[in-house]
Amino acid sequence: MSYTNTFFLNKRLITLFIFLFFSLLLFFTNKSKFVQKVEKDIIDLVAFISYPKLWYENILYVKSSNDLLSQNVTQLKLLNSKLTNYQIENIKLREMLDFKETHPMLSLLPANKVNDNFTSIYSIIINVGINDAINKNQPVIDMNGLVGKTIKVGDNASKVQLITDKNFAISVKVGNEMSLAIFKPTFGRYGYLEGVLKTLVLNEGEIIYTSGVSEIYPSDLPVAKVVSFTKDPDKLTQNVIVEILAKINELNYVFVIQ
Amino acid sequence: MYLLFNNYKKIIINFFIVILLLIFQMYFPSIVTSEDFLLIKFDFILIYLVYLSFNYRIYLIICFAFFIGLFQDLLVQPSTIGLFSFLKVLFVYFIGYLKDSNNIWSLQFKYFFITFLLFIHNSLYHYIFINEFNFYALIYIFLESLMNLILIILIDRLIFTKKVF
Repeated sequence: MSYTNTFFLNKRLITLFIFLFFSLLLFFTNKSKFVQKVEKDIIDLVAFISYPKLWYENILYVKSSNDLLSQNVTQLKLLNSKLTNYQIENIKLREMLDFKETHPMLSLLPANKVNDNFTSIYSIIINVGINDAINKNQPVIDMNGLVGKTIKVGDNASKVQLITDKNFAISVKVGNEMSLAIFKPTFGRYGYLEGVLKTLVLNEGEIIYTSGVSEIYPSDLPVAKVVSFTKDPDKLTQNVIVEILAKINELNYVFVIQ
Repeated sequence: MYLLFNNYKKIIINFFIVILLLIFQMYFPSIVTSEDFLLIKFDFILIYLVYLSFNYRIYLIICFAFFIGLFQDLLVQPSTIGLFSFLKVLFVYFIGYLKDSNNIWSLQFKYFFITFLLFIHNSLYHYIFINEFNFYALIYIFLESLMNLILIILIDRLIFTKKVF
């Protein structure tokens, strides 16, 4: 089919479109109330026809927004838990600060527990070392009581032998008469006292302090509290069971006494 | 000069006929309905355009219908100028289908087709002016379309010697 024939066949259609265009142009350039009514109806019709498209787009938008919001919620939850942890940490640090201020006689260096080490001896690693003027055999405490002592010191970290270690022993004073005894750990948070005379009066819950006899530990550091005590007729001393005051399993921040 | 005038003679004659029909239509009585702004009346120009469509090429009548519609707009409804020209152009274009298929379609279908075109034409026209498009308005428009169809059939039988149907 030649180009001329094609044009001839579409001549009617072309004429129609040309004159429809001019008719509509004339009609919509008029601003009478009838034309405005038609314009309003056309707008409504267009809105009605495009409603499914809009609806579908809204669904897609809602879906994408939902994904984004879910992501935001997750991020905010993480941030919230992080902030909660910061709050708890802040409270702990404030308590530690208060603790340090209540012990002005002791030079306390705060340290953070880096790692647990239960291979050969019960110990932890803290983030202070020679660079912080830490030496071997320095006592380590938390806010509740004695934690242990430094046994190996690196430039920036130290290994602390815990009070719960089997090889750990410390001279303590106990009772109103401040009698000397030896504390030794047994299992978990518990330990016992050696050398407590039968004549010594003890009370349950009584706090046991370091004696100061040792060159390592200063006196009057809280170590444990009396849980129970029994007197065996065959022995000269009492069997005293004590509970360690330091929260060994919840250690996070500790102090090194310098 | 005479030949040039001869070329435009048909157009000028038809244009004058349309003007006469328009004046006649303006003074021809209309039927008042219960709907505001809805008057049932004969559309003589539309019927004349049907006649012209069957005698001349459709694209020429589309042009003619546009200018006649525009003239009618200026004379009758200046506030909706372009409306009649739009409707008349569309009407003539679809009458072209009737002309092309005149020997193929049955008589009943031709009646139906013209009634349908008239109904659409009148519906679009009245839609602009009436406040609410309800069931009664549709009935009146349908009656108007039927009246115009009957007039087309009568004119076709009496004047055009069954050229349309």
